[in-house]
Amino acid sequence: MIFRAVTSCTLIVSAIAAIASCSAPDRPTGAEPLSVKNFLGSDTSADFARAERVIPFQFPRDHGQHPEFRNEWWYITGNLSDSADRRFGFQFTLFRNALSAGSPDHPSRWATRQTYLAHIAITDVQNQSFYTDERFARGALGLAGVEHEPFRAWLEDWRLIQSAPLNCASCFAIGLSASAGEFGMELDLESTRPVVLHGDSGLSQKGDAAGNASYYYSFTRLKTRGKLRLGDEYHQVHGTSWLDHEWSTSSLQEDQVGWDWFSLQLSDDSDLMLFQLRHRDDPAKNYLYGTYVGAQGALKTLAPRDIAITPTETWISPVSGANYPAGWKIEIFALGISMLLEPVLENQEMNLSFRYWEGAVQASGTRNGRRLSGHGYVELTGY
Amino acid sequence: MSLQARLPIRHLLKHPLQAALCIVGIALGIAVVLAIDITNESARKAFKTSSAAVSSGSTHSILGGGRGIDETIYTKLRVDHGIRGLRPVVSGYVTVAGSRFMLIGIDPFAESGNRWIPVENDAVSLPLLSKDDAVLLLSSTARMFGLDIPSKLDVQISGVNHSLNIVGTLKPADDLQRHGLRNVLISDISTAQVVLGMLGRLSTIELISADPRRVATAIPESVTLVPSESRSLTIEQMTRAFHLNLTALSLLALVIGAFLIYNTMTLAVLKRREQFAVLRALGMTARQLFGSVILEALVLAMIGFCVGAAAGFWLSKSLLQMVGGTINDLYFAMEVQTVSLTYTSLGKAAALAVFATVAAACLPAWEAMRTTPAFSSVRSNIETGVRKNNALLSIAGLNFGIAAALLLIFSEYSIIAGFGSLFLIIMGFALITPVLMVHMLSVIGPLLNRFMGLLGRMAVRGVGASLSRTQVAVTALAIAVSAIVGVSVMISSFRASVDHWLGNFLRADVYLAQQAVHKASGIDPTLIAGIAARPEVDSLSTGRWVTLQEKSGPIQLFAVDLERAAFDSYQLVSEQDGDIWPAFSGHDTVIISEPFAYRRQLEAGDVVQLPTDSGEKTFSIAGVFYDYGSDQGVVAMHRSTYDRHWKDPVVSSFALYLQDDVDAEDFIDRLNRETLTGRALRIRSNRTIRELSLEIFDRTFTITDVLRLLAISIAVVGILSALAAIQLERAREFAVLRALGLSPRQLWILVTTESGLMGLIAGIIACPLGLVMAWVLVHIINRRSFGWSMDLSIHPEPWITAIVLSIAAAVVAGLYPASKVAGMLPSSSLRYE
Repeated sequence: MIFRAVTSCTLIVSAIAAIASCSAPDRPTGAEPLSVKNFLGSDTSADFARAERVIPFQFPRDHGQHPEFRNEWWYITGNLSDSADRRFGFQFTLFRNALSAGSPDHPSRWATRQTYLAHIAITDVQNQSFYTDERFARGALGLAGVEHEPFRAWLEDWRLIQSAPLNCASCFAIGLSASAGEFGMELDLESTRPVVLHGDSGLSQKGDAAGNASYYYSFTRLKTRGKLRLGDEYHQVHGTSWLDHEWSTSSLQEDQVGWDWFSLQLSDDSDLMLFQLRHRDDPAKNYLYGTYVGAQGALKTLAPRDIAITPTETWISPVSGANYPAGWKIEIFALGISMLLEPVLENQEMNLSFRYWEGAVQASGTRNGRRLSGHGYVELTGY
Repeated sequence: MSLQARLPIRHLLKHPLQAALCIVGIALGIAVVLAIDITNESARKAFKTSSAAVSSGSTHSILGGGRGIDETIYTKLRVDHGIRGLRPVVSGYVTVAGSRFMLIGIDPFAESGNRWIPVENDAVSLPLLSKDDAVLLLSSTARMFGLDIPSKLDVQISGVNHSLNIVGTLKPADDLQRHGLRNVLISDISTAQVVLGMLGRLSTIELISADPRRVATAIPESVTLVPSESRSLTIEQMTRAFHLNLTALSLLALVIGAFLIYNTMTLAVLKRREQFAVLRALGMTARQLFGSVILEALVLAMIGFCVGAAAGFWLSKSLLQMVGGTINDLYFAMEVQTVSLTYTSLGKAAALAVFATVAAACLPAWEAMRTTPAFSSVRSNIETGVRKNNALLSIAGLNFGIAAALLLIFSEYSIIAGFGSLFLIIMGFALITPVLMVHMLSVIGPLLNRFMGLLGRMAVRGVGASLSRTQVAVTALAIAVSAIVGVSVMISSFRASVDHWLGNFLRADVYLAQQAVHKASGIDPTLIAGIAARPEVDSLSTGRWVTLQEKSGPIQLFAVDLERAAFDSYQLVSEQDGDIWPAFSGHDTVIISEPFAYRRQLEAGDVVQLPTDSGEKTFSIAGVFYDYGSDQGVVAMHRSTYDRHWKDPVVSSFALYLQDDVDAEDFIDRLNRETLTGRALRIRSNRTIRELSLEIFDRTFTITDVLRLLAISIAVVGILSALAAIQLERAREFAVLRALGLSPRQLWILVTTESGLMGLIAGIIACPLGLVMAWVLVHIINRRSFGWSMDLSIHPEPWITAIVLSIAAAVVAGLYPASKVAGMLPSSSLRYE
C-alpha cells in the first residue's frame, strides 16, 4: 500500500504546518491530493532509493527501518472482544517520513531528516464510540525510531517491543503499548502463520512505471490478548490483528485521487488483502490488486480482472462533510467469493491533522455456495 | 465665568513671565518624573516581552546550572515517563547587523497542540527541520533589515560568524507576541545548539501542560523545577532596586519643582495682598479667595503638565538607551527599543503635578485667605511674621530630622524607608534654612560691609529684609545643589571603593575567559595546559562560573582553583576565627560575597544550601568577602569542593601570574598571535580589566549626571523667577536709590551681589545637607539596594563645586533682573507709585 506511504509523508508535513500555523489549525490540508503532489516533486525524491527489483527479505533486519527510502510504516489493526463478547476495533500506526535523502552532517543529536508520526484509535462497537489520537516526533535523540535487534518501534511512550526473538519468517511476537488521555491499549500479539510477501516476493507494483512500487509484507493473523482502557474502565480482550510493514519512495499518479484498502480475516481461516487506487473520473481506470492467503498458508495474487468492489451504502461525515462509502459488495471471481462488508460503526473517521477513514468492518457472504463470514479493517482516503 | 475663575487667569495673562517660569518649573519636574517612569516601564516591558518570547504559556521551567540541562532528560521525560506538554528550548543572544537578536531553538514537534510558533508561509514550508541552519523571523523585522525571504543571514556570536538561512516568516497572534518576537530568530534546536555552543544541552524545558508534580518526581536532582512566575519575578527583583533608585532621583526633581511652585505662588499672593484686601472689602469670602489661588495654581499645573509630558516623552528616548545599556552591563542581556507610554504613567505624572502644585500652593492660598480688608497693605507685618514663623519652622525641621533618624533605625532592610528618610531629611533642612539664613546673614553682613562698603551692607539687608521671598529660592537652590553634592560624594566614594577592591582583587597579570555564551563547552584543557607551560607563565589559577538554579532564584557560584597566596585577594569583611584557608581548600566550606550575605542575612559561621548534582547539600560559610562585581551576590568555593559535588570538569576562565620580567600587554599580543586565533576567548590584562570595570561603572552613573543637570536647571529657573519677582517688586525702592544718586552700575552691582549672596548662602547650606545625603546614599540606600558597604570618601572638590555652582547659578539667574533694574528710569517708577 504505497498510498499509505504517501499519506504518511503528507501527514507529517501537513501536521507540522497545522501545528505551526495559528490561523488555520483545523484545515485538513494534507487531504488534498494536489498538495501531496506538490510536496512529492520528483526532484526531491531523486536521491532516495526506489523499489525497483525483488530483494531477499531478511528478518529480523527488515522489521527495522529503511531510511534510504522516503516513506515507511508499521500498521497494526485488529478486531477484539471481551469475555462477554463485547466487540472492539483498534489501530496502531507508526509512520516514518524522510524530509530529504541522506543524513545531515551535523554535530547536534537533534539533527535528523527522519520524522515520525503515530496514530492510535479504538472503536467501541457497543457504545458506538470512536477514540483517536496522534503524536509526532523527530527520529533523533531517542524520541522516536525503529530498531530491529531486538525489535523496538516507538514514538515517545507509544511502543512496539518484541516479546520473543524475531529471527525467522514465521516468528512475530510483540507487545504493544499506547495511551492517550481518554483511552489506551496494552496488547500482546503473536503470529500464527508465516509472513506474507505481497506482489512479486514482496515487491508490490503500484503503477506501470518502473520503481512505482513498494516493498510490502504482512502478518495477516496475529493472535492478540491484552487490555483496552476506555476512560477509567479496563476491558480484558482477545482477538485477531493484522500487521503491515511497507516502505517506498513512490507517490500517487497524476490522475489518481485516493484509495480504498481492505484487510479481511475470514471464517474458513483464509485472509484477504485488496486495494484499489481510484481514478479521478473513470472508475473503469481504477487500479485493483489483491493477495489471498489460503487456510494452509498458500498465497494467490489477485489481478484486477479477478476483483470487483462495489459500494452499496454511503455515509456523510458530520465533521468534515466528506461522503464515504459505508458498505461494499466484494467479489473475487477466481475464488467464488461474494461478500457484503459493513462498518461496525459508520463514524470511524480519523479527524486528526490529516483526515481519512480507517475502521473495523464485518463481512458476510458465500464462497462457492457455502456460508462465509469474517472481520477486518478498511481504509479510505481522498474522499 | 465667575470672578473667582477670572481672577487667576487675568493675573497669569498680565504676568506672562512669572507664569512662564512657574510652568517651566513644573514642566521640568514632570518631564523628569515621567521620563524615568516611562523608562522603567519600558525596560520592564521589554524584559517581560522578551522573556514571554521564550516562556509563552509555560507554567514551570526545568533549569540546570550554568551549563543548562542535559538534553537526554527531555527524552527520558517523554519516552520513559510519557510526559507530554513539554517544550525544550535552547536560547541565547546573537548579533545581526549590529543589533542584538535572541536565537530561540525549538522542536516543532514539541509544539504540537501548543500552536506557539506562528509560521506565515503555507503548509508545505517545513523549513526548520528539512533545511540546514534554517531560521524564521517576523516579516517586519526582515523588512527593517532589508532581508529577502529566502536569503542568507549572517549572525555573529562572540566574534564568530555563522551563516543561517531565512526560510520563512513568523505570524504573530497578537501585538504582545509581535513585540516579543521583534528581535527573535526561531530555529530548530539542532541549529541553535551549534550556533550557541550548547551541544548536548538545553537552556530549559518549559512545562506547557505537563503536570508539575509528575515532572518533579521524574527529573534528576541536578536540575530544578521552578514556577515560571517566580522565575521572572526574581529576575525582575534583580533590577528592582535599580529602578527604584531612578524613581527616587526623579521625585527629587519634582520636589525641587514643587518649591518653585510654592515660591511663585507665594510671590503672586504677596504681590496681590492689596487686591485681595479690596476684594475682601467688596464681599468676597476668604474661602473664595483660597479657591481662586488654588485654581490659579491648578491652571499652571495643567499647562506645566502638558509641556512636561511632551518633554518627558522626548527625554525618555535617550534615557532608555542609557538604562538599557546599564541593565545589559549589570544584569542581563535585554533589548530595549520601544518607548512605551502608558496611561498609568501619564496618570501618575498628572496626579503628581496636581498634588505637588496644590500642596505647594496651599500655604500661599491660606496666606491669601487670611488677608483682612484693613491690615493687608503693611508689608513689614509679613516680614515680621516670617521671622516669627522661622522659629516654629526650625522646630518642625528638627522634628523631621528626628523622624528621619527613627525611620532609618527601625527599618532595617527597606529601600523605600531609606528614601523616605532621605526626603524627610531634605524637608527638615528646608524648614531650618530660613533660620540658618538669618544667622548667616548676620555673619556675612560685616564681612561684606568691610569689602564692599555701603553696597555690601545694602545687599545683605536687601536679602534679609525680604526673607519671605528669598528663603524659598535659597532653599530650592540649596536642595538642588545638595543633591548634586550628595550624589557626587556617593559616586566618588563608590568609585574609590570599587577601584580599591579591583586593585586588590586583580592580582594575576592576565585573565582569560570564555565568551559568556559558550558556557556548556568550556575552555579546551589542552589550551590551558599549553599556555601554562609557556616560559613566561609563573603560575595560574582556574575558575568556573555557574548559575545554580534554586527555588529562591539563581545563585552565582564561582569555583576557583587557586594557591594560598592568591586567596588573599579575597578581602574579607568578616570571617571565622583562625585561618580559614584549610577549611576553604579542603572541606565543604565556602565564602560568600557581601551582597549575598546581605540579601540572605547570612554571616560567617552560618551555612548555605546549594543544589548539587546529588541534591541539596549544606556548605558552611567561612567568611564574607567584598565584591562589587555583582549586586546579586556570589558564592565562591574551592575547585576541589566543586568537583566533589558537581560532575562538571569545565573551566570557564583562568588567570595567569607572569614571570616578573614579562610585560602583560606584550604577552597578550604574542598569545593572540600564536595560540588564540579563532578561539572564542576573551583575553585581558589586569590593567584593561580594571579600566573596563571603571568604564562600566562610569557608564552606569551617566544617567545620574542627566538627572543632576535637570535638578540644577529647575533650581536655576526657580531662583530666576524669585529674583525677577523680588527685584521688580522693589522697583520703587530702587527708583528712590537711583534718585538718591546710585548709578545704574552701582544698582546692577547691588542686585547682582544680592543674587550672589543668596547663591552663597544656598551653597553653604547645601554642603552639610549634601554630606548627610551622601551618608544616607552610601550607607543606607546603596547598602539596602545592592548590599554593598563602602567608605565615605570626602574630597574638597564637591564642596567647592557646590558653592561655586550655587553662586554661579544665582548670579546667572540674577542677570536679567539686575540689568532690568539697572536700566529702569527712576522717574517712571516713582510716577507709577
